[in-house]
Amino acid sequence: MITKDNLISAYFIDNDRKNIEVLIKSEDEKQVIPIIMPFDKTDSKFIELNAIVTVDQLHENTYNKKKQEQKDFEELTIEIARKNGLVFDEYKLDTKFYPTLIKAMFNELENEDHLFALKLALFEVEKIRDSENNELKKKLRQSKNKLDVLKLAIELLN
Amino acid sequence: MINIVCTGKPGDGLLRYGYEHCCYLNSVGIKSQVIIIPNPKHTKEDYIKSITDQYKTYENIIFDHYTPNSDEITFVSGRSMITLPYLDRDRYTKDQLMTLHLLFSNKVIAIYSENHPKEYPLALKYFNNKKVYDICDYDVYPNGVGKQYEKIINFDVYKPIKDEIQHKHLFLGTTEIYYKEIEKHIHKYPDHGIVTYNAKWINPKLNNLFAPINNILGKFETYVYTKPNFDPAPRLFVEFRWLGKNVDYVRDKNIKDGGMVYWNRPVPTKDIYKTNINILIELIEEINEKNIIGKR
Repeated sequence: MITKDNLISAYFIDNDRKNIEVLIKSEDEKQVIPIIMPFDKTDSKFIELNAIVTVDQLHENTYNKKKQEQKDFEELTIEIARKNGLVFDEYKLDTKFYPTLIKAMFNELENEDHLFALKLALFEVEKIRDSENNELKKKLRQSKNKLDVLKLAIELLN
Repeated sequence: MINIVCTGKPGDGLLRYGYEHCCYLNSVGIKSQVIIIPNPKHTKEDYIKSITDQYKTYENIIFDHYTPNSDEITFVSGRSMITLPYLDRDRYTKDQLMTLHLLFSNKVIAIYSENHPKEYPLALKYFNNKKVYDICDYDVYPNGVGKQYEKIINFDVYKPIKDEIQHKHLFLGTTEIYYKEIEKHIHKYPDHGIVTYNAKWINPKLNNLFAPINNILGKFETYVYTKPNFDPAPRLFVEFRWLGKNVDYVRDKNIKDGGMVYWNRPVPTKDIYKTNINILIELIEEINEKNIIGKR
């Protein structure tokens, strides 16, 4: 029997939203028992469920469950990609990254979007951001070329 | 340094609240400045005129370019100051965006508002913000977050108002929504002036006065408050009351927003202003203390 106390969750399990899965706790609370039922307002099991969970809540639970599954899937995919060196891990520098770094630094020297990203990243460096040499910081901001930006950043770091 | 960021329009209350905060904080020894990143549809001159028309001083205001250190605090008088430039980011110059990134990635004190509930977190993420300290007027936003704080007008910094009455009734019709609402009531007020812009939705048969208007508070006897939509912190009727002038509340009294809340509040005095802004000052001191400890 489905009760408020033993109900864990209830949601639709198919795209047509004709069937519902209900998860309840066993009496000893050690197991999760799944119950599948049709979305049929005359069905006795559904009537029992509907006394606790409204149809709107079922739709909302379904949406949230799908959203969570999507998030879990994306996280897992990124995790696998990271392990295989397919994506850049910002927390762990990999030697494989250097050729990309060099390309980013020395190609398209005046690309505005690159320049913006480079300057922003440099200003994240505390020693640069908090330097009292305002003149150099101003020059860095105004630079129109990645090489100049890097030279000024090194000067500020020194 | 407290950097008070304004990304709104020159006619917005948020610019005024921001500048008034700046004046008060400097007057008590807390170095502050207003950093205006002009809305793409307006010029620097519009903002300068807006401030010089209303206030005794024009100081500690800079435009577009600023590189803050990491221990400076950014203050916004509404969350929309962060959300709007995020939504309009393609219309700003790279240098303006750089300033915004640097300011919003610092610690931010934000007065709570609910204009863009979905976009606001995205804006914080975009600007790589590390920490927001919320302050909130719970009478206006019962579901808000942060310490209780009210937006109060700092009348101390106002220029004297010259009494030069030209019309009995003032209406504020600066958006199409406000204007349409005014048209429902205007027949009862033959001697009126509607402050508006020269837009296609205005009715040329009415007495339209185009903003900005010098000494607006001195030119009317009564303000007719008709704003039909959510108004978090009305200024004009508070200003009229401060001058001892009449205000007609011609809007649905069931609208739950700053309209009724401010209607029931007393006209702000120096003491009221000070007590309230001290909440902000305590928060600034708390954050500064953390900054110092963090750098040890």
